[in-house]
Amino acid sequence: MVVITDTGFGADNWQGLAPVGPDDDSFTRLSNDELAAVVIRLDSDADMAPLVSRLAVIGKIVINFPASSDGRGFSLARQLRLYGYQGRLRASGALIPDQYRHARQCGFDEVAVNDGQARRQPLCHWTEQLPRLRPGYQARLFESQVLPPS
Amino acid sequence: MYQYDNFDRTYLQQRIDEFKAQVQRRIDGVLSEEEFKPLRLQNGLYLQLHAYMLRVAIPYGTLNSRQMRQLALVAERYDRGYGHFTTRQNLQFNWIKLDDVADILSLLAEVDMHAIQTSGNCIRNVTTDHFAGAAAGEAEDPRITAELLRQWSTGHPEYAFLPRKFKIAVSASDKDRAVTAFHDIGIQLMKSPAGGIGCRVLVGGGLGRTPRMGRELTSHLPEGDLFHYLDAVMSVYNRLGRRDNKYKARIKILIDELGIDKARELIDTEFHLRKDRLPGFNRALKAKIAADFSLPDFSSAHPHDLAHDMALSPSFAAFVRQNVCAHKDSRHAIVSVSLKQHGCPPGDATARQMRIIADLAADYSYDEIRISHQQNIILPHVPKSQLASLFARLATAGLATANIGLASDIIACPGLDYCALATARSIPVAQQLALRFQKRKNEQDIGPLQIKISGCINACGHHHVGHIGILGLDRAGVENYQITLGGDGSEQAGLGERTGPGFSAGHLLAAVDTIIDVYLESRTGREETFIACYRRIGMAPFRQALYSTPNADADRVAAKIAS
Repeated sequence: MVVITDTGFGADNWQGLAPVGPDDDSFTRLSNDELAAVVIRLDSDADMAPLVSRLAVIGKIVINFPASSDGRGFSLARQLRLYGYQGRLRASGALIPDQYRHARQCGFDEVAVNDGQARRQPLCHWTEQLPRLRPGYQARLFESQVLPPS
Repeated sequence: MYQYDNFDRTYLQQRIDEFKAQVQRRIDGVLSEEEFKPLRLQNGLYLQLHAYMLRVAIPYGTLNSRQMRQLALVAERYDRGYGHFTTRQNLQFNWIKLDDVADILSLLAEVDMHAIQTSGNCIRNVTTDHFAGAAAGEAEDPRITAELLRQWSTGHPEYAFLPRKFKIAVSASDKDRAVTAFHDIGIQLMKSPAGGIGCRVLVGGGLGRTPRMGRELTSHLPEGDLFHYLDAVMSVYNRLGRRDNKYKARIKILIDELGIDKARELIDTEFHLRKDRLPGFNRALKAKIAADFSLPDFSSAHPHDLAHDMALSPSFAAFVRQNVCAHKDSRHAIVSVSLKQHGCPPGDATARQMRIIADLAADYSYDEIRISHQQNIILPHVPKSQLASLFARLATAGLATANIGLASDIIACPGLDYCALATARSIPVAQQLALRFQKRKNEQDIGPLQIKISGCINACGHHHVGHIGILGLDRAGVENYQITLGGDGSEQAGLGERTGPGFSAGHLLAAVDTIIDVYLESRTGREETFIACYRRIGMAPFRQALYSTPNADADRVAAKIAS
């Protein structure tokens, strides 16, 4: 597993942490301290409801992308941020470099792909995406933004 | 018209560079075909039956003469000298080589045009009323909201990989010329009693194999809330829309399954979350866009009575009656240029015709052109005093066909002549029908009649909302055409009802004749239109006439054998 951030490829420092789903029995039994340490794993069809009240204490969430054409995770990420989640947020699975921009702009901090994928789509293809992270059209639509000079 | 700024131009150039790099990575094998396909589609490039097809966006159907000339250049240099205007106010080039695409995109970018999000599972080119800004009785020019929607949806990071394509239409008039009830989202703008603009939002309309009329999500939303509201709709759809079956993946099916009340509840929760936590709508941006869409300077036009010009020339008089509509400024008129010359493929325009239209727009219409979803071209602001002169030039160019809204003003999808999905031909059917009306010289007598033809169940030809709808299917290798009656895409929206078993290509024309004969015999007078007559007398007389003839019996037997 390779983890991609704005600074490049890195090792997976969540390795060894068993992910917990919000529907797992163990989730409801976790104390706040335990929640801060574990990785919460969300599938793309996850229901956010059990999570919302505990988002403030959660530290790590990973959202799974089953296929590069499946954009559900983008909306899940955005929803988590809207509900106030401030911990680390990782997109994991079938993402391609062209989706790094989408992931980052929807609230993900990092993208994790398997080693095979990282070999097929090496770092240069991911760093190529970095200039595309600047705010797009959407930022112009809301008040806090100033109009770009024409 | 909207003026591109540096932001728009930089964005476009970056998208072209990005696409070039994506094509290269596909060639190098870095991207798999499965990974590449959505990227290719989001840049408007389809692989069709015979070649690549590039669908160029004409946002809300508005363009200027310079842009039209550039489309002509592309048609000439990279296609076979023509293009096809679509029911989504776009232009398709049907004979494109993959190697040429980057050059074409660069040519388009020179005139602020592109092919972004004209296909793929994303928010598509936004459509609106082709008379926007020119017709009386609008709450405001709907292109202002359409342009805001273009900006909001272009490259939106959250909605680039939706369950399925997503189409939005805007209208700002009591007369719905944008078919808003048959879009994934239809937005109807109105003046608020309290001042400002309000939005009525319909959701889950659509045609295709499961035709649905849009259902009302909200009757009145302040315009400042529109984008948080739309974000809420999109978020719910993106997460909950079905992905297991592409035929059930449109939002209309999600709305069917949730029910409109539950859908509204989910959307409202998301909406309030955004409204509470996120900054509000940027009114300064709207003001800038609204200024771009202010009307041209009409001060040089003067009042003109057309009666004299019409008395001098019967052909001009016929053109005015059929192709010219009232403008909100009494010194001007709205002119529709028919791309339905009898016997020609509906919506096709040659490079030469495009250049003529461009010249005429520059000379007669303050440099503005519109494409209508009926696949015709509009010159929206023509001084009445120059109408006769414009007509003469159109006539010289063979572009003065006076059939707007008549039986030969047919919408047809590309069908089996081009499309990889089609199950039957639609363009030849449209051609044959139009030639038949021309030969019999009965169009004027028949009066307003919308015939719409789709070459497969995906309904790109809008057959469900045709007064007479024709759907071409493949029955055991033989083309078979089903007919629906009574569809309507206007403010009196309704879905057509099937007459019964379909007809073979050989018997289809006779079936349409029969339908028209029933109308002509049943109408109370010329003032009762086909659709009004159908609503009064219902399906029974048509059905009776259609299925009591020997031809129909033969078709029925053939259909039975085939099924």
